[in-house]
Amino acid sequence: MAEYLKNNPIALRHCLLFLYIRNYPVDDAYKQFCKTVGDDVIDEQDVQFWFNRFRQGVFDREEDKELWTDMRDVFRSDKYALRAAVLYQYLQSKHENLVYFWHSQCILVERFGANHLFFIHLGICNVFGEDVMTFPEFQFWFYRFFNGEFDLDFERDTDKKIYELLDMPLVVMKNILKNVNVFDRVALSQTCQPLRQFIQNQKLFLGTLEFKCELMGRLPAIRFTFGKMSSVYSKDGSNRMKNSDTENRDLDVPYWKEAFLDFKEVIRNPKLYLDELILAFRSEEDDEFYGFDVIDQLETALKSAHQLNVKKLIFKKSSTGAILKILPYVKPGYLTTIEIGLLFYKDVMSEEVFGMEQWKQAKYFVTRESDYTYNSCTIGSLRHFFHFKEFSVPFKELTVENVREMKEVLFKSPDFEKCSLSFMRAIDTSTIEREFGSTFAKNTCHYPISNTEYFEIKFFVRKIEVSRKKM
Amino acid sequence: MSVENAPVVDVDEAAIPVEKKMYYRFESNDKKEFRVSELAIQQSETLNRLVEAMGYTSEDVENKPAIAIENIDGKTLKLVFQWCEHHKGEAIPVDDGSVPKIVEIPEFDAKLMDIDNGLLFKLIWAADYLNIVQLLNVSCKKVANMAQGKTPAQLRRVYLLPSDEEDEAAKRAAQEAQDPRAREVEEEFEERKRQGGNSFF
Repeated sequence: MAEYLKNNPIALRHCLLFLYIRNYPVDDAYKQFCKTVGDDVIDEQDVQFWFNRFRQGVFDREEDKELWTDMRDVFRSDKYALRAAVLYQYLQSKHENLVYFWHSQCILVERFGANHLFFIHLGICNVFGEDVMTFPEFQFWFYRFFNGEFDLDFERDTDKKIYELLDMPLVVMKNILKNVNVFDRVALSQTCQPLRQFIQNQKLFLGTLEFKCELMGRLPAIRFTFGKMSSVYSKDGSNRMKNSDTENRDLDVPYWKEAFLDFKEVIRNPKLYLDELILAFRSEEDDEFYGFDVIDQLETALKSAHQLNVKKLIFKKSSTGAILKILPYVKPGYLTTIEIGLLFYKDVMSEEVFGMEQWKQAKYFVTRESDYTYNSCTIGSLRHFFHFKEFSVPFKELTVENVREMKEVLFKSPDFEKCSLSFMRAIDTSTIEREFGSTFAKNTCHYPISNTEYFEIKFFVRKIEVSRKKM
Repeated sequence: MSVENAPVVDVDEAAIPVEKKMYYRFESNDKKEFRVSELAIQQSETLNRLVEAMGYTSEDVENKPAIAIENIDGKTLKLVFQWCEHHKGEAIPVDDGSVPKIVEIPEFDAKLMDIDNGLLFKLIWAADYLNIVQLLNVSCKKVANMAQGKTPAQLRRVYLLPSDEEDEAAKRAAQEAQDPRAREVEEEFEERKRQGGNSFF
């Protein structure tokens, strides 16, 4: 490499000028150059000589040539000069062992490698201006040097088409997109109309999507989590956003607005399929703390999209108000499970919820049993749960009517498999014994429903569990 | 790079003469010739069908002209065949339309794809055309990885995407370019109408 620059004094001078423009003092520039290219290519006096020239606006040896007012124009007006700058950058990153690193750590190659090139290009743009050399052009030259081809005069065949992303056939685009995660999809769909339309028409299977209002330190924040990746929008004075891949990024709008914009972008895809949608936020009383009305904003976001394909909808720490507002935006039939973490004290499970198709067509209903505060909520009549395959619900108390209803309706449902009911008050076993006409041995009773199946009923102080069993 | 300029490239030099196995000769659109083993060809559904249909014997391969691959250049085809030789005999993944699997890029493939985007897209195009499923998968994964953690503006730079404004401007320019002609036709039509003729019909 050193040989090449020795034989190409102009390219060598371009490298020096590149160092000069980046404000290296002479001695640093000399050290840098020796480290990068080699010790025997130039001596420090030469560097000093040329830096003095550059300072006077002179690039050539001839004195009568026009003076440059801005030395950067040397690069802007000469593609060979720019290639020499790329060459120098390549040598520098090679020296920093990065090139070697790409090769030895294959898993990091594409990820680190691609981004590394991107940042070098960014550096060049910062020095000379945005449009001085496109990224693909830069990349082309970088890889030529990487493959040991240092010929700066090489000309790409302009007749031949240079392929770009948008030239790829549809099947290829689909294949590429399969590998792009949700956050990057959002960014990609914001680049241009054709990509936006394309991305919104592609099926996207996501495991879990969690929308969570939380605290970052002592400040409110919104966190999206998709599988192992998450993106946090927090109000730490400057509305920052952070996800696993990117650096912190300052936002120009309030943190929650940015969060909802991204959330909308993800859910507006009609072919989005979610295994779980987890909504975790506090009560309406916290709205002031977060600076916005969580449920209203969620509703607005959901309104803009198609009904979501969600298998399991989980409300953590929620209110029936939230359930009432959000449930209609989930596709009935596709939704099989509704899980409710914690209902607030004296919250009422509204009849409106029970009337919804989403409720009627779901198969599983779960509430957490750990906290008894929600037990005081009025969850409505037991009847509303009889269509489920499995459910667990808290009630105030077990009445004779409840037991009769279970026997007459629930136990006749062909779909019903099992349930778990917990109560505020202790269960009066004699009521149950009377209804089922048998005594409980070891707190367990068998209730036959056919020749082959029966229900096993277990009861505890404040809880009964029913499950379908085979004879 | 000197290998590329040689008239005939043995992609898998070591293996061929020893085992005396069947190999085929292919020619790129810039007249570079490649010898590729039968097993490696199986990675490409398109080429595999082609050679099956041709039913060449070992003598045929030597005596008949190399099979021309019209729309792929030598530089790209070299990468394609290097990949096929390295991965010969491996099972070809089947896309059953279910939830997509996570693609890992092996070290060999990563090194092979240390190329600029122009060439990478050519490689993808070739992998699609020759129907080499796994090569398509890894190369698409590489393109996808470039998107990681970038802002829309950065993505436009990486993939050379037009912004919506640029797109609009281009459309407007195209329309304006068309307009004068449209106006001329209209004017002519008006003119004729004024003259009372119905020569348009």
